[in-house]
Amino acid sequence: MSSNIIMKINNVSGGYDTPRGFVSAVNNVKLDILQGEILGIAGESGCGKSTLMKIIYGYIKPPLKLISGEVLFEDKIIVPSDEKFLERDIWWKKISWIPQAAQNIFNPLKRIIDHFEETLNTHLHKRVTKSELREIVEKHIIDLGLPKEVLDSYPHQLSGGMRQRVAIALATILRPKIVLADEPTSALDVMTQKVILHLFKKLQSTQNMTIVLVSHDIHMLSVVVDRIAVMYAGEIVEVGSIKDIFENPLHPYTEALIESIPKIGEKKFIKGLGGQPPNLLNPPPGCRFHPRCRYVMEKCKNQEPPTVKIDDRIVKCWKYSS
Amino acid sequence: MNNLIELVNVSKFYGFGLLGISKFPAVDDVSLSIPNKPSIYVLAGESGCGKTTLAKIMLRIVKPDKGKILFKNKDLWKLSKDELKEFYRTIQPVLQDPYDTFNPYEKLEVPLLKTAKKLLGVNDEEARSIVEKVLEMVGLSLDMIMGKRRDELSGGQLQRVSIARSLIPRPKLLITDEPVSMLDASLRVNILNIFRKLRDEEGLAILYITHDLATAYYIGDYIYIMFRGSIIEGGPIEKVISEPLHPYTSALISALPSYEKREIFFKEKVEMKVVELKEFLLKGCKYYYRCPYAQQKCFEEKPPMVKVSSERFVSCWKYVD
Repeated sequence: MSSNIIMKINNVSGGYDTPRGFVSAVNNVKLDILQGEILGIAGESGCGKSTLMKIIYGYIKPPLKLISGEVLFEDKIIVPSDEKFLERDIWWKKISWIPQAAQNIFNPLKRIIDHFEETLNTHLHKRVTKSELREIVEKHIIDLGLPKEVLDSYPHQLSGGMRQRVAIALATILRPKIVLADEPTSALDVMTQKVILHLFKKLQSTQNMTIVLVSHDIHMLSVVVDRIAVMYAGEIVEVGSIKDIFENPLHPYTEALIESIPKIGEKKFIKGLGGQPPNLLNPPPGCRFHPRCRYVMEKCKNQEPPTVKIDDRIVKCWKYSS
Repeated sequence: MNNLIELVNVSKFYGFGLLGISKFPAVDDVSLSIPNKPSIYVLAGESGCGKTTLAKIMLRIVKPDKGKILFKNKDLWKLSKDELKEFYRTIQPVLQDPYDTFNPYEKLEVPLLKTAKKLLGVNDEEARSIVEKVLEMVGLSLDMIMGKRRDELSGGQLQRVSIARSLIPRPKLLITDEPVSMLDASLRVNILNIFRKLRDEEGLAILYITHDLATAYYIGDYIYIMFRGSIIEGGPIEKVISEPLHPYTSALISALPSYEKREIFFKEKVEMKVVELKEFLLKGCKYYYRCPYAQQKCFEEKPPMVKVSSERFVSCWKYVD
């Protein structure tokens, strides 16, 4: 894994306008994505991880609003920018987004091959003949280890796991540099999950793709990612290698999250994390985690903690600021 | 032993295809009994394995097409009115989604007090003290929920209220279907700890139905593994997880991701499942298409339940002499 930065997320803030006020779903997020890595973004429901994905992809539609910050892809600003530009030059070709429950996106009246045809014809800006098209798609499908029979099937004939694999194949048909996958296995069984995770590993090793996996399941992420960014209440609170995060978590939230999830083979009593994630309509002042933190100090209650860099790790906590 | 509920060769068929004339067994010839002792029984399996249908059969929501279901040695579907009331007092459900349990327009104490009065036949004052007591068991109090409606509580708190509601008639058995899958990871263990406490301090039997073997291990004493409508293995949870007998159980455990398994996780391959229905309709062992040990016999005949030791049993031809 080279440590070239393929994407830079610079102090991005965004959220939703609602009748009850502004929901600050993503707050001041700074993150570098490295070329060729699998990066996990872990966080619980409502922590802003899906919103962050939408912003990175540039899919910013009301009520979602970008407040500040920018996203750079290969040193060029892609967010904020014109949607026409993204559609023409970035989406599908450079960056692909697999939204949550992508296994259900297929048109039930069309065969799988038709979906590939539509995608290729729309984004290649040139007509390819049916047989050329089939050749491209078949090669891609077989490369990814899927049976080529799926191409002539209708979506309902395939299992959820197979549809998810097809969705991933569809998202990668134009060989994008980055694949953003939002909860790619949340609706699937553990055995199917393993097959899907293996597919991402394969895309990374054979096609040198950069993959961002978003999930609430930190154990699932732990077997497949190289680095993890932990999100809490709209902020990235810690970034580190998988080993660092699991063996020596720095942020009190990361520590509590890893501790509080039962592991198979362990019956020892676990004291869960108290309280609940804050309402982002009105996030707590200072550190957003301070009401639940076991190490809370006076300044955590009213001053936002700085983002501290420790070696190649990042943590947003007053404990590490001298 | 004194069983709270007993299933004898229970099957339930659902229709499929055009007009639903063809049938497949969602629950296939399941025998299971839950004794009256403070233990947590886990019914584990992947989506579509029939575990929720089985729970509904035990709760007398779904009537089985074949076999018998016994409550205190009497047929559950032939109980008298009084016996039925006793059934509802003895066995209580806790549902997956607490938002389904409560009426959004009603203040939360209303259904709680109503349940107490109706099932136990007590007056207002007694009902209040019972409700106060069950809320205390789950770490809440009547003052905390008084006057609040469903949507004013968080999912974790509401699930506590839902558990408290089920405890009102002082049941002997709780049947709970994925009670923590709705909640955030950091909050799940708090609810699981309540179940542990109810077993240890109140002496309840609990049937915990889940797809998540890690939480199952954390609270469970015994486990039954379900696959395509059949129970394929059972026994004390530590033994089943550390030395699984059925090939499906081993595959399921090895597909569980964890940081400790990071280095070896992808070394063992798994087979993608073929069409589910095809597996449900198999006459022999339903794991036939995926099993690395499959033989002709497995295809032709359903394996019997083999008692391997005093507490363990498995349904697999590998263990038949």
